[in-house]
Amino acid sequence: MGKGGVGKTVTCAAIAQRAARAGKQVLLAEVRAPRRLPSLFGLQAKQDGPLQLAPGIQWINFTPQAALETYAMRLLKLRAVYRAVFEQRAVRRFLRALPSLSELLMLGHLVHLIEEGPNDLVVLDAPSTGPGALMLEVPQVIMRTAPEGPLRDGAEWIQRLLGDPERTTIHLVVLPEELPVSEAISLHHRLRDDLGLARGFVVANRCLPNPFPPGQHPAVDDEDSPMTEANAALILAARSLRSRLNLQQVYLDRLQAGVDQAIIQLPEWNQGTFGTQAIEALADTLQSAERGASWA
Amino acid sequence: MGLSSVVESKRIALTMGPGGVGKTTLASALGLQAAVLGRRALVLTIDPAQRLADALGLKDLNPGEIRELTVESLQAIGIPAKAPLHVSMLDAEQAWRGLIQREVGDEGLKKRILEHPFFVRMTDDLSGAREYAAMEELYHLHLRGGFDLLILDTPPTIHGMDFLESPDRLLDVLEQDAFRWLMRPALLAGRVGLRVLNFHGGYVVRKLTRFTGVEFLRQLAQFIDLFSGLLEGFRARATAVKATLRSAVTGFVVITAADPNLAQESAFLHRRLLQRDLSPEAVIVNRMAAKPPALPSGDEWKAQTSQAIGPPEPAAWFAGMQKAHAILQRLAERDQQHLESLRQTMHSCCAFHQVERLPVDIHDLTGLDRLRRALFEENDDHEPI
Repeated sequence: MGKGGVGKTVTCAAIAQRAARAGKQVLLAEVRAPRRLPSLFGLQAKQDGPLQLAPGIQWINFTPQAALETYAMRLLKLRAVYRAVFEQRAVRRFLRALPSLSELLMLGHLVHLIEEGPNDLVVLDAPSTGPGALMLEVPQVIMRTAPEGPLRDGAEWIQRLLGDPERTTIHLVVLPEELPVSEAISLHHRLRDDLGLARGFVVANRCLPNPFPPGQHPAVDDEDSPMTEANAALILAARSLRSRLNLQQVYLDRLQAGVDQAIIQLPEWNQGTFGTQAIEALADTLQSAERGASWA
Repeated sequence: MGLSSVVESKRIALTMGPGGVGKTTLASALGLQAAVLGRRALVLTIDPAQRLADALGLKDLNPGEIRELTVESLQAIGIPAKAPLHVSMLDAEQAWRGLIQREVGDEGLKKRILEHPFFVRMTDDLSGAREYAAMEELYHLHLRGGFDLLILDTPPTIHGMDFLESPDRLLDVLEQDAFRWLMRPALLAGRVGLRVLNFHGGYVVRKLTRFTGVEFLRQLAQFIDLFSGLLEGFRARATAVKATLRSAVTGFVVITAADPNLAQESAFLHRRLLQRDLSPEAVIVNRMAAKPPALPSGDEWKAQTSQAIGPPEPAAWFAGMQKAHAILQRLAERDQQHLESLRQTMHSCCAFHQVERLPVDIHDLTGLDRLRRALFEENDDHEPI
């Protein structure tokens, strides 16, 4: 989970790749997404899946409609009855307008796939921070506010899986910048203190590389050291990168102080798009950063 | 055209764009520029993250409060303001409460709506409720007058356009005849438990209750019923708001960053605006990586420089500094490429402004004023495309 645009999707792909390498059967899932994951693997998805992205990796895009169908069919048994009820325009529009119902349905679909599917691991690319936390909160909200009935039963069933630290872990993805870091820290607290969900690792994505030798050098670190016409451009660039690196470190330190999880740094990529190569490289980094943790 | 014309002559400005690109901060910078030009501006956000208070360094700004930053207080910190700047944060529940208080005449009905278990949930759960509240508030302030420029920082939404579409969607749901026909007679009469209902709706309702439970549907139907008398007024105002937004008094500003993911989203938003005849006045591409100064040509300077930078380890540090320059160069080129492709996608007639990434996020008026100057004083040579 994390703020929009921090690289959640590619991190999910890397986690899936990493687990598939270890011989696991992985389901990689998006939620109401514009089918981004297949294109990362160089594939075009015409439907919402399931689709084989790579050996050991299946992909699916959760939509409220498909989730409703799965869930409602279990309750109603007969397709004709489903059609009569849920394919009414009025009913469909109504369900679409209540996000918490849609979220509950999609979580229900997810839990259904986890409990009854052949997968060893399901990696969910959650919606961005706000909607994502809302989605994970939905079962508890419904358990608190919905009157007794099938809705509340469904929410309890989902919560049993989400709230079980042996089975569900939440990883955060963040950029080493002010707003993403403070959002990640508050999300961390919300997950831990309000929702009681297990947290895995934190990925700090797009970290700028440090090209300098260890230690300091007066030309870079002493603002008053003299420059010549020949070296001014180089020294100014070096100072500018140094100050961005220092700022990056401030945010990484703030992140480390604010969460109680391991932080894995992933490098800034200079290409705008991510191919399978980038996923492989990120999977390598994850693999080497993993220290016997049980998250994959 | 362009940001200047929005700040100088519009009555309403809407900043739109994906989350995390600095929308709130830029909206505040627009407000500050209006104050410098002598126009009374109000910057309004509906943001649970309270970014507005944070950007202005106003830790004690309460939701719903309209805070005035006086001309004197702005001038005291070196901002050449000629009018005060007003700022306000709203939360959706509060805005809905205000709306119900204003629009419902019958005290009993007012109380039944505000106390219904679905009310609070609706204000933050029903899709479009937050956006509807923002529009109502904007329109209310517009009609009330008192400000020269209202700047609404629209809530970030998953699909850019939701802000303008969602009020309709909300009303559709509350208003649907089919839905009311389906639910009301059976549920309000409490007859759902009956084995046979003699119309089609009864059958659907019975099946639906297997899915949601009877009580949930009953409460919902009751809630929708409470609203049914208000919908006509809501619908009329939504239409009036849309007419105002389409008229010349309103200017849209799209805010984005040079990031391919965000750019895609913003290009989509831009297209949707055009489809609705709402042509944006300006696009701001925020947080562009700055180009490092150019290195001298030839190779001679290299030998000189690696000597001149001196100990410790001049060769290693020279190599490191060269890499540093190359990294900044690549970042700047990448952002420039993203900017170019964004320009090509948004090939309509509107002004493009780019703002360089600031070394730190903005937490006070002084920082905000620096951003304002970067936008309006140092960046005057923007080319229209």
